[in-house]
Amino acid sequence: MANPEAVIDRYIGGGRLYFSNYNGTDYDAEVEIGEVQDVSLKIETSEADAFSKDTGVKKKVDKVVTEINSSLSFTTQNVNKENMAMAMFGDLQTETFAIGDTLPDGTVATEEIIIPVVVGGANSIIEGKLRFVSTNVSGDSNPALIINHAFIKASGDVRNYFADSHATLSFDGEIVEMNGEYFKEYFIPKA
Amino acid sequence: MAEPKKVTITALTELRAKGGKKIPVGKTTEVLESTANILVKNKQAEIVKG
Repeated sequence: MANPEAVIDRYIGGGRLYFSNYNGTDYDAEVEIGEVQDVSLKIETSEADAFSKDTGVKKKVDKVVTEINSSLSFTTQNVNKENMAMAMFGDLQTETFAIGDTLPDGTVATEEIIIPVVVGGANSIIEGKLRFVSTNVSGDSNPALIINHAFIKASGDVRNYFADSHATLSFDGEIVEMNGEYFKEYFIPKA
Repeated sequence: MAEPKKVTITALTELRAKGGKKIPVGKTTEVLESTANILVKNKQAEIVKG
């Protein structure tokens, strides 16, 4: 029988991912990525081994860490303008079409219309803060992940225009060390 | 103040009406007279004669 006072450290869950774009001087307001299907965090090291052959036999005598890399990948099925702009290294703008103008789909405007447009490739680097707030349906705490700064880029195809199932966007993020840390994961007690 | 005059036009090219509705070629729709004048001038629509 399970001890009712034991801390339960299991995890089954999902959550919400938020992104705050760095505009070169400051961080923009945080926006939710939305309908995230997967978030994976990775941290890994590279080491250099030192060997000695003083006795003729090669023996490992030391190991030092030469590199620390941390990364994040996530997938969303929310293909809204903001997420598409991020995936396309784009700039989200609007274009105004006057009466009589031919719209991009070939129809002719019968009233002035303002249409959102992602200008692909306008931003060569997407960077910013990320925050993932999970909901754990099994354990006693909800992990909350804070990433101070990461460089984000789409992984795989940005758009399949002939999708038979809900389209998804996948991203990879290279996490940058800031103030001696790559990320923080908080264990928020469940109410 | 008087309401702006509306007229019925026939689409000569596919039109995008108010609310995003498509008006196929040959179909009619009602638009403001000022709009109709622009579309007629561009040969994109013709005014339906009453």
